[in-house]
Amino acid sequence: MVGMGRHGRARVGHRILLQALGFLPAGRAAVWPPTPIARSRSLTTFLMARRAGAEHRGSFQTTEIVVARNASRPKRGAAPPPKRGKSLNWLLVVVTLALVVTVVIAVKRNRAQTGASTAALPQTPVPPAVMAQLAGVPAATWEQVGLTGATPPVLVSDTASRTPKAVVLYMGAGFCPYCAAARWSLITALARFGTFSGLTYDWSSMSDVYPGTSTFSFHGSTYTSQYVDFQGVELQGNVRFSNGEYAPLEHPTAEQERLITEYDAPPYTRDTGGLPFLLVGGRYMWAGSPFSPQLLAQRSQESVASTLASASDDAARAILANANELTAMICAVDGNQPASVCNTPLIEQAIKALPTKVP
Amino acid sequence: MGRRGYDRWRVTLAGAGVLISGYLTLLHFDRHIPLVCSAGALVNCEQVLSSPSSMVLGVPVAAYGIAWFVVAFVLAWASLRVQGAVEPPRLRTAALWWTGVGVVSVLWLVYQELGVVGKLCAWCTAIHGIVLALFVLQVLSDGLRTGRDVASG
Repeated sequence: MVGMGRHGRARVGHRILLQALGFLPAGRAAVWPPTPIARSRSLTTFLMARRAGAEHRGSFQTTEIVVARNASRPKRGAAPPPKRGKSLNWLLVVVTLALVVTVVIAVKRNRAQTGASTAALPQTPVPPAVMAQLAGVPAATWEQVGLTGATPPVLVSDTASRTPKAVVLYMGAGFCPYCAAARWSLITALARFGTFSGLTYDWSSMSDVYPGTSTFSFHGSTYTSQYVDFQGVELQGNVRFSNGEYAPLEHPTAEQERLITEYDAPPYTRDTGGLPFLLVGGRYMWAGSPFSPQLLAQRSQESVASTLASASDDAARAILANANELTAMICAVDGNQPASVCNTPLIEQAIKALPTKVP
Repeated sequence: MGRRGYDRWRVTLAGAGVLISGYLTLLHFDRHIPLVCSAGALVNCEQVLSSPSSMVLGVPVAAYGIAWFVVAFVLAWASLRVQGAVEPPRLRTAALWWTGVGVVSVLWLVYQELGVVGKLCAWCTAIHGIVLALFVLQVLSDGLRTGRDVASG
């Protein structure tokens, strides 16, 4: 721009005013004065064209202005375009704040809950009515459920047991939800061979998977049977220390420890040391839950026990089918006693289906 | 980024959300499907997915997620189809409200994970991130939706 005179200075002042009012961009985009084609246009025309988006470095072609004018006018019969709404960016601020507040409240609640979970749960004896339901599954229900969905055991030894009674070794822990599920099948199966006393209600840990799965504890209970020697070892409870460890409860004997070390490991299992560990007659083993603890989610002991007699839901059917499998294991190692339990077509068939090869 | 650019992202993210929600729903019904997730002190998918909070009215939360993402996908697809024209106000409002519902659900789910279960599920967090991203995209592109799509990208 060479030799800018009085008119030139006035134009610059005009440009500054338009920029201040927001009609012209403050940067490089606008060039003033406009090209000769647009110079004759009025400021109103310029603003109209600019609003219509037809601005291009401050120069305007006549055709662009016409198009822009037409674009800015609603067509006859067409609905006018909606007005540009207010910015909703404030919503982003609200959501961000809500997220931060939610996280803070949640973390505080969790810390308070973790502190409370270290308190010991009360030991509630199982009421006689529930014990009767666990031990009183009708023969017809056992037959009706059969072995559908039952988990077959692993044969860990093909040597016959030499003990007078079939030894059923169970090793589990109070916090463990898989142990919680397995106990249901174990208790209902063993109730066919003997009698439990001193069982208490228990629940798996609230801070583990399948939290609060309802079950029973063998800790402090006794089992009497002329056919089965039941050894229940609850290694840990469901009370958690502040360091995250669960309180030790019972200690296995050296022989029990040898068995779990030898058999609760590959090639018999996929992982080493998983709980529960169940060994029948030193031959048949279950490592892990025979069915998903999910089936017992948010169910009380009374609720589950009440469905056993009729096997009226998935949880009851899973419990009883696996109890049938366990019954077959016991019958296979104790000489098929008692006959009233072992000499039924279902159990005889289940015995024949037991594995015969050691992995 | 123009309106079309935003809408392409919305379609992509909603599609990803359907896939992840579908995976988590399948995990719930078929335990033979492997759960690809760590089981650490803070991140433990199995613990979250097996908690009572993972079910609402007997239906897995992930199944609700599928439904939500399918609707979000349809809304985003419909927006994408409106090329170079003013987006119908109903479509714009529906998408905004729908992502708002998603954000409220995410807040509840984050509370359940951190406050009740005490663990984070990596897959769930990915889904939460997608829902929040869809909301942000919807809000940021809201001004563009009220005018003609002259800056389609």
